[in-house]
Amino acid sequence: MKSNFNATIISCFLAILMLSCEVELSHTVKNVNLYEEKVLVHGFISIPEGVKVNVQKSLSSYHDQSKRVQLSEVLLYKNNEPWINLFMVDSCTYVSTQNVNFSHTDSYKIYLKTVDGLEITSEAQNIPPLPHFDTVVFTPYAYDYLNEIYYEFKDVDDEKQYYYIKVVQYIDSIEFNDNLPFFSCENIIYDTKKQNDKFSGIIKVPYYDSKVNRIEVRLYALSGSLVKFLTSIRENEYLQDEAYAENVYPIYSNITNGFGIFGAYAYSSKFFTVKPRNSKKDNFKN
Amino acid sequence: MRFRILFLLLLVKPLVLWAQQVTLYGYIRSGATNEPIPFAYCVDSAGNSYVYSNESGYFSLMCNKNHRIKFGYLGYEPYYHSADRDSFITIHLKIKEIEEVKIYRREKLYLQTLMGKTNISLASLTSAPTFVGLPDVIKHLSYLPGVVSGKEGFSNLYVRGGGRDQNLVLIDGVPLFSYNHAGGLVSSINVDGIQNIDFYKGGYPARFGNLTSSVLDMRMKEGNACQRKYKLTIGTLTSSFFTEGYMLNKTTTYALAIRTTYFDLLNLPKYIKYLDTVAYNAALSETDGVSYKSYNAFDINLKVVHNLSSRNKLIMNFFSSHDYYADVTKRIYKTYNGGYVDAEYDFKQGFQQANYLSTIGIKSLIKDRVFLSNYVSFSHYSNRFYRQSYEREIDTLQRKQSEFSTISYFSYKSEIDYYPIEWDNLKIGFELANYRVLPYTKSDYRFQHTTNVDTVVTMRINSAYHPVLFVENEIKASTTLAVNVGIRMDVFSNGPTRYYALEPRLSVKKMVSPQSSVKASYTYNKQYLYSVLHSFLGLQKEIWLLADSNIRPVEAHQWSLGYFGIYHDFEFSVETFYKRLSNLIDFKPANVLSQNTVVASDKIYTNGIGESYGFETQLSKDFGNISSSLSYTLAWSNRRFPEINQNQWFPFIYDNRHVVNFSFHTPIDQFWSADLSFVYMSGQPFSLPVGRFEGNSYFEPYWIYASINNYRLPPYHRLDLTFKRRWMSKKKHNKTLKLNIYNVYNRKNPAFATAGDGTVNIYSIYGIIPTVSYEIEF
Repeated sequence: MKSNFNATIISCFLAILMLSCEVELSHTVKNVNLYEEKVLVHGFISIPEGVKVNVQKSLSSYHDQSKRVQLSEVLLYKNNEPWINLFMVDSCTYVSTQNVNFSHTDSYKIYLKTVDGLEITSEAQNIPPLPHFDTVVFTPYAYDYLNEIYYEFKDVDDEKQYYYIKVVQYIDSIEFNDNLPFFSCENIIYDTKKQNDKFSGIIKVPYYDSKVNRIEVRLYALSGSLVKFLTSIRENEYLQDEAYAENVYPIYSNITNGFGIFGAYAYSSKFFTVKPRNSKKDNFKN
Repeated sequence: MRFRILFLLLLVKPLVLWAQQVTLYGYIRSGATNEPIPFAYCVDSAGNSYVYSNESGYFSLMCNKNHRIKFGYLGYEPYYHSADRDSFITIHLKIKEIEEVKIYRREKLYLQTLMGKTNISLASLTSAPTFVGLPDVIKHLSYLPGVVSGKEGFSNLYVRGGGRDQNLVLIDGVPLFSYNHAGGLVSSINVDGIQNIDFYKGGYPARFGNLTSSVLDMRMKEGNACQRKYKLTIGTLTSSFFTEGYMLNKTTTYALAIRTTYFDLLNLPKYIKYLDTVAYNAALSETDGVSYKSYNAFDINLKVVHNLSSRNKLIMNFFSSHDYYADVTKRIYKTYNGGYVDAEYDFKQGFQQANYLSTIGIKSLIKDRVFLSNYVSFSHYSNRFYRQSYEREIDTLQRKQSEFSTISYFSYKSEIDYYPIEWDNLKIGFELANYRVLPYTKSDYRFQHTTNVDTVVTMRINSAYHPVLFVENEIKASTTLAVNVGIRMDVFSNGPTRYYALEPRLSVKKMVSPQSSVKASYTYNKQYLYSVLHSFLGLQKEIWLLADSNIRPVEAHQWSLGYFGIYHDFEFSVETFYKRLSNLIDFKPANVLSQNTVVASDKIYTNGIGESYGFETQLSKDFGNISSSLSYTLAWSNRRFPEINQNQWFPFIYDNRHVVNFSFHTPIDQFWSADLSFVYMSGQPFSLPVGRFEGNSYFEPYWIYASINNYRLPPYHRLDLTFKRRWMSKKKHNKTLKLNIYNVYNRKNPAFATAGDGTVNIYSIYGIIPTVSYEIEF
C-alpha cells in the first residue's frame, strides 16, 4: 500500500513534469475600445515665425483618417485679452499674419471654439528671450561623411532656460526635409550643462543629400511647457516597450477641453554656404 | 480615623502583596542547540500573568510565591518551575519527539500588544508551496492579508498600498537594500540561516525608522552549542548548504548558509560550442552567428557568536549576495564596398549586482534585568549594467556603455533593554548612521576610425548623516489593558539641508474577554531614502536617492483598529486601516537622464500624495496535525501627483481590490505530508489609451491617455501544491524529498500587458512549474 502510494505520487509528478516542459509565452488579445474623441491642438508661438496651430480630432486606431475640426473662432489672446484672429491655411492649420510683432514680455494663449460650442484654451505662454551664438565653427566632412559644428553661447537669463540646436539644410534656398521630428527630446540642452556661464559643444551632422549647398544652424530657446511635452513623449514611448514598467506616463498637455501643446520658442541663426566635397579641409567660422 | 486606617491599608497592601510575590528572570534556551528561544511564553496560570521572552531569550516575570510557572514554546515540551524565591534561572526546553516540528501558528494575535505584527513560522515557510521550489521569505509574506508581491514571479513587497522602497528589511538589525536575485524572481535571503522572522505592517514600535510601509525583521541563527549539524539541499535550479555548530570549547557557535544557482548548466551546450574553435568558425558564418547566455547567482550568510563571559557575548554577522548575467553574440558576414568584404560584429551585454552586509557588536547583561547592546554595522548595494559592441564593416566602431549605481550605509547603534517589574519592558536607543549614495552614472565610450567620443553622465554623489534617539515602552497597565508607546527623534542632514522629525508610535490592546481583544494603533513615520525602479533589458534596476533640499522626506500617518480572538478554536482577526502618504516621488525613465542632468530633482516627479484604506480578516484553525488558514483583504490604494495625470487621483499600480489567500497543511501518513495554497487577486490596474495622434511635421505619433490606470486586467488566481516525504536513513540522517507544483491548473495569469490598436495584449509567462528538491540533514 505504502509503495503503491509512493509510486502514485511520483508517477503523477513525473507526468506533470513532462507535460510542463513545453515553454511558451502565452498571449491573449482582448478587444477593448475606450475611444474618446478629443480635439488635438499642437501649436507654437515663436520669434521670428509667429503663430502656427494644427487642430484635428484624435483617432481611435492606426487605421482611421484624421478628421477636421470645424471651428467657429480661432483667436490669439495677449495678456488674457483677445488680440488677433488666426487664419486658416489648410483644413487643419491656422497661422498669424506676417506683420504682427510679438514680444518676450507679453503672455499669449490660444482660444478655439468649435461649431458645437466647445471652448478650448491653452495655458498662457511667454516667448523665451532670444539666444545668440558667440561662436559657430562649421567643418565639413570632419569625419568621413559627417560634418562637425562647434558652438558656444551664453545663457540669456537667470531663470531656468532650455536650449536646442537644429541644423537645417537647403538645396537652392529650399529647405530639405530630413523626415526627423522637428524637436527631439534627446537633444535638449539643459542649463545644468553650463560651465562658467557658457554653453559649448560639438554636433555631428551628415548631409541628407549630395545637392545640399546651404546650412543654417539655429539656436532655440524653448518654453518649459514645450520641453515637458517633448520629454513626456519620449518617456511614454520608452515605457510602452518595457514589459515590467510600473507606470505609463501620459503625454503632457496644456490644453483645456482638448489635448496637446501650445508651446513657445525663439531662435537665431548662422548660415554657411557649403562647398563640394573636395574642399573638405576648409573650416568655416562664423 | 477611618481614613488613616484606609490609608495605612493602601500603603501596607502593596507591601503585603510585594512580600508575597517573587521575581523570576533569566533565559529560555533550546535544549537541543542551546540557542535562545525568542517569544517563548512564561505563564503563571494561577495568578493570571504571563510574559514572553525577548529576542535574546531573556524573560522577567513577577508572580505569586510558590506558584507553578509554565515555560513553553510551540514544538517544545512545556517545563514547570516552582517560584519559591527571587532567582535567575536558565530554562532548557526539550524539543518534542515528532518527525516534523509542527509550528504553523505562532503567538496568538489577540495576546500580542503590537498591532500589525506577525511572527512568521519557519516550518510553514519551508513547507509551503513555492515558486520554482525555493522557500522565499518575501513571497511567503504575500499570503498575509494586506501584502502583495507585485507582478507574477517577482519577490517585491507592497504592503497596504505602500511602495516597494517603503519597506525596511533587516538582517540582525542592519538594513538590506536589495533583497532579490535575478531581477526579482527569487529573494536573496536563504531561509536555512534564519532563526526568527517578525513582520510589521502597522503599529511599528519606535525602534524602527526610515520606513513608511512595513518592517521585515529577520534574526539569523546563532549556531548550535551542543552538536555540529549539516544540511544539504539539491533542487531543480539551486542548491544550498547549511551548517551550524560550535568551536573553541563551545564558547563560540557559528551558522553558515550558502546557496547557489546553476542556470548556466542549461546553457552549457551553447557555451561549449562558443568555445569550440571548429564549431565556432562554422557557426560564425551562419546568419545568427554564435551566442550564449549566462546567469549565475549565489548568496552566503555567516554568523559567529562568541560568549566572552556568562553575561557578555560578541556577535558577528556577514551576508553577501551576487548576480551575474551576460548575453554574448558574435557574427561574421559579408558587406559590399566596391566588392564583398568580411565584416564582423561582436556584442556583449549584461548586468551585475552585489549586496554586502555585516555587523559586529557586543550584547551584555550589565545588571539584572538590564541589557546593553553596541553594534557597528555596514551595508552596501551596487548594480552595473553594461553593453559592449564592436563592429568592423567599412569602418570600425567600438562602443562601451555602462550604467552604475550604489548605496552604502555605516552606523553605530547602542540600545538599552530594561525590564523594570512594574513597566514590563523599556527600550532606549541611539543610532548614528551615514548614507552614501551614487544614484546613477552612465558612461558611453565610442571609438570610430581614429576618433574617441566619451560621454559620462553622473548624478552627484550624496552623503547624509542621520542621528536617531528613541524611547519605547511596553506597559501592562492592568490585567486587561496593555500599551506599547514610543517616540522617535531624529535629524537627517544632507549637506546644508536638515530635516527634523518627532515620530510618535502608539499601540493599545484591551482584553474584552479572556479570549479576545480590541486593539488600536497610530504611527507617524518619516522616510529619507527612496528607491525607484528603472526597467532595463526586461529586468528591474534600482536607483537610490536621498532626501535633500528638493526632495522632501516621505511622511506617513497610519491608523488601524481591530478585533482579535479565538472562537470555538478558530483564531480570527478583523482589522481596518487608513494610511496617508505625502511627499511621494516618482522617477522619469533613465533615457531622459542622457540629457546631461546631474541633479536628481530635475528628473523626478515630486509632491505626490497617497491614500490607502481597507479591511483585512483572517481565520485559522488547527485540527490536530492539520492546519488551515483563510484570509481576505478588501482595500483601495490611490496616488496623486501635480505633474502626472492632470493632478487627478489615479489607482496605484498594485491596487488589487479583493485578495483571498487559503493555505492548508495535512499529514497523509507517517512519511508523507501535503501543503496546498490558493491565491485570488482582482485584476491589476493598467493604462489603456483612449485615442491616437497621427503625427505631423512637428511631432511624432503618440497614444492619448485620459488617465493613468483606467482599465483592469483579468483577475489572478493560482493553486500550488507540495508533497513532502520525510524519512530517516539507516545512518540516522533525516532525508526529505519535496515535490512542488506551482500553478497546478496551468492558469495563464497576466504577467504584463501592452496596448495595441483597440486591443489589450495580455502576456502570461509562468504556467505549471513542477520542481523537485532533495534534502539531507546530518
